[in-house]
Amino acid sequence: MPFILRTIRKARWYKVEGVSWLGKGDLHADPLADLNTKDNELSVWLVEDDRSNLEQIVTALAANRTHVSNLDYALLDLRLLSLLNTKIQYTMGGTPDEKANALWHCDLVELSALKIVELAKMILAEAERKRIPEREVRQLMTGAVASRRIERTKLKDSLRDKIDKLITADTPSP
Amino acid sequence: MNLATETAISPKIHPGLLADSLARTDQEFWNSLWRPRSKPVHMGASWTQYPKKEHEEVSRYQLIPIGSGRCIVREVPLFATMPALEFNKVPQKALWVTEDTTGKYYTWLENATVQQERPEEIDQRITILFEAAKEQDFEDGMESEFSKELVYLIKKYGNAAMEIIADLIIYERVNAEVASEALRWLGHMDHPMSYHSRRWLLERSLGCSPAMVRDGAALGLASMDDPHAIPYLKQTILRENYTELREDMEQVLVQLEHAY
Repeated sequence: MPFILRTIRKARWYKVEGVSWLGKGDLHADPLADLNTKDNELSVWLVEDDRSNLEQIVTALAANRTHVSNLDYALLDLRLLSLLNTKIQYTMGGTPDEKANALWHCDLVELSALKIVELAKMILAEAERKRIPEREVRQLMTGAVASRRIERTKLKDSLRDKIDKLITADTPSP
Repeated sequence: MNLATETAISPKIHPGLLADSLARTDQEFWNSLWRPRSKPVHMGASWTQYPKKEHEEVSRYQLIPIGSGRCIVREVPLFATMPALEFNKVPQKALWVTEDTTGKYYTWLENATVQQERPEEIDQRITILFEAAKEQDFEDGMESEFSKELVYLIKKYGNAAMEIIADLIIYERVNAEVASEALRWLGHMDHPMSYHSRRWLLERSLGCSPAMVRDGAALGLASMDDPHAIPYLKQTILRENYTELREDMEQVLVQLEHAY
């Protein structure tokens, strides 16, 4: 079964135990900052069950930033998402990787506030939360640009400059 | 007492280290701060280094540089083998800090006084910057108004700006998410002049109480990729309660151990 991937900030999702002001079954509010909707829709990515496209999606997301940085994400089994009765719509992603945009980007639509909270609880309890370190993101980015899977002209200026420098530094002088 | 009229720094407390205290955190420096517990801290006393076998009988005082010439002196409990690594176990109460209302800061350490000037406007700008940032949404790898201004101020004012930022973060006077964001950018930015003070702050922030701040510090150190942080990370990992954060820190540690 495939997964949905959502970028997060891991530190917002640390499980806090013994918080006196938090009722039973309740959730601290910080994780909701990672689930900001637009028009009641939430952008997510569909990861194949063998995760064969995970690296490409992560690289596409990293390429959509202004700087090279770590990339944190949550990976949730699609079966669990169906328990929330959530609709999924394929839409074009907005990253510099056209293939990833067309094949694997989708939106969770018609989301209510309650569904968002339930989704947050599900991510907290069930999702894999992972961090790709900055160094690895750098390697993924330079590889994708060098192989032209991602067009360098589509990168934001500051990121493009950085990637250009990294590629130049990696290129052996004649 | 008019501190401004006091004499220069006593050679016994390493004047060079005080002048550039943010950049100096070596063990020799900390070792130099051993002194008898029974001896009250007061002007005119001198620092004394005691052999380690007498640890039970002495107390150690730690200088926490929060500015060029502006330090906080804090008693470090005897269990602390490396005071710099035991930050969050030590009460966050300074023994003393002196300052006046004109923006000039004075520090007296035993028989020493250091006077440094710092434009008042930097204090205000940085404090307002951190306060206003509470309203911003931060995203990894994305510049924000906060990060742009932060980097600008550090590049413009150098260590003078770092002193204020260190004060805000270490004493947890700012929102944890904002502090975390600041630490990420401190590790990320390219500014050799402030490098040591940025690294110093990142290492010390590993001991802050909000997990989010510790995470920001670890990420900043990962960006710097400097093995100097290895002992600090190792100590922090040993006492880290959050499993996920500990794992992330271990990831950074592995990276630093294989740096260069």
